[in-house]
Amino acid sequence: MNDDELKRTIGKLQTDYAEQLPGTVAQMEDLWRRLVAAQIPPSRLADLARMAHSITGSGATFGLPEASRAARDLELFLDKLKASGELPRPAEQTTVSALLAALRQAAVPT
Amino acid sequence: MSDRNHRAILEEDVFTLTDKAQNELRGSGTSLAPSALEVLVLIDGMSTVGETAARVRTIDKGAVLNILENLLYDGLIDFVKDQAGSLDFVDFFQSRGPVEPSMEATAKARKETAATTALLQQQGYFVSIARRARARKKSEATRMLSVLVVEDEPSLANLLKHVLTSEGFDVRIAQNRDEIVAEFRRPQHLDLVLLDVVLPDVDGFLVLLKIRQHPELKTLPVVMLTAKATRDAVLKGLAGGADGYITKPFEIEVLIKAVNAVLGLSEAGRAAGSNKDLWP
Repeated sequence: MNDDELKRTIGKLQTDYAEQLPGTVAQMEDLWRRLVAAQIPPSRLADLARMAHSITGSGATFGLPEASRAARDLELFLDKLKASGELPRPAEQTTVSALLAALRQAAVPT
Repeated sequence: MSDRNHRAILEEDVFTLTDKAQNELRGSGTSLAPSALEVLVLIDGMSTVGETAARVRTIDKGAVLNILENLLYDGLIDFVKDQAGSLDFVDFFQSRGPVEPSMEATAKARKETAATTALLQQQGYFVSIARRARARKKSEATRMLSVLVVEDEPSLANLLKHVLTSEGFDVRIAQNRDEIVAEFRRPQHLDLVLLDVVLPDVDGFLVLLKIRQHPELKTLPVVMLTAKATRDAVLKGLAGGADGYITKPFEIEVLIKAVNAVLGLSEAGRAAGSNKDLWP
């Protein structure tokens, strides 16, 4: 694979990533809604943190640095919450919802 | 029979046929019971005991284990070893040993990570190369250098595969614990592991420690590639014996430079330059 082919391949991967990211964030928001509604156990907060962690580590590499930053903010907050093993309190729920909204905005390429 | 053959058979064990078994199967007659023969012909040197037992339809798993014990005792099968003849990956995640790095290693790593926080704030990522191999050119290698990328994020794994392949490496991917063990079981030589920390079913730091405790793998270069970007995490990786630590998100050019540095590959020996802009 020469440089031009590699650039094209990376460009395609970047596009694919940007296209699927809003869907991933929508899944995270759905997971969060179900957590708050107690439809799933609080332990699933770890899944949400893992998803945030994944975007933290990949967003900027695929040209979406704001997504990485927003995901890191969310991940750090969730890391604190998941240690308690309980459903977040109302104030914490508000913060998570706001951080998720920020991530949703950052997931849209500018 | 060696001592290792006296231990209990585990579901994760992998067996291979011995010469004796090959002769037994090639011969015109066999003294083996039909059920033993049914198990014996399923031994392929790759499937685990659990997988083999699942394929045997006529008897249950307990009976398969008994048959395997008898086949082992009779010298018809043996535990799979790697090409060096001494690896036993069954115990890769089960072996006992220190799970924390030594104080000496921690002190050394602490020194190496002193600038972590400042660099993270300044450039958004941190790269630390703790150990470099003897300088060499890629052309000196008599075979393609192999990199195992342990990464569960499919997009990143795909990106790394393309980039490293274009740099002239043979790239393998593992996304979870079983795939990691499977890759280490493969006879092909590995030259470097790029290791994520947050994996679905195992902690990358544990994988690192297990590699460093393993008699055959302990010198295998490992570069941590992770979004765990705190100073403590970097310290944990380097103290645990990582040869390098790259925080995510990373820049491709930086990653390539780090890989080459750890492998001791000179600029001239690389398949492509590290200063080029790979972004479209």
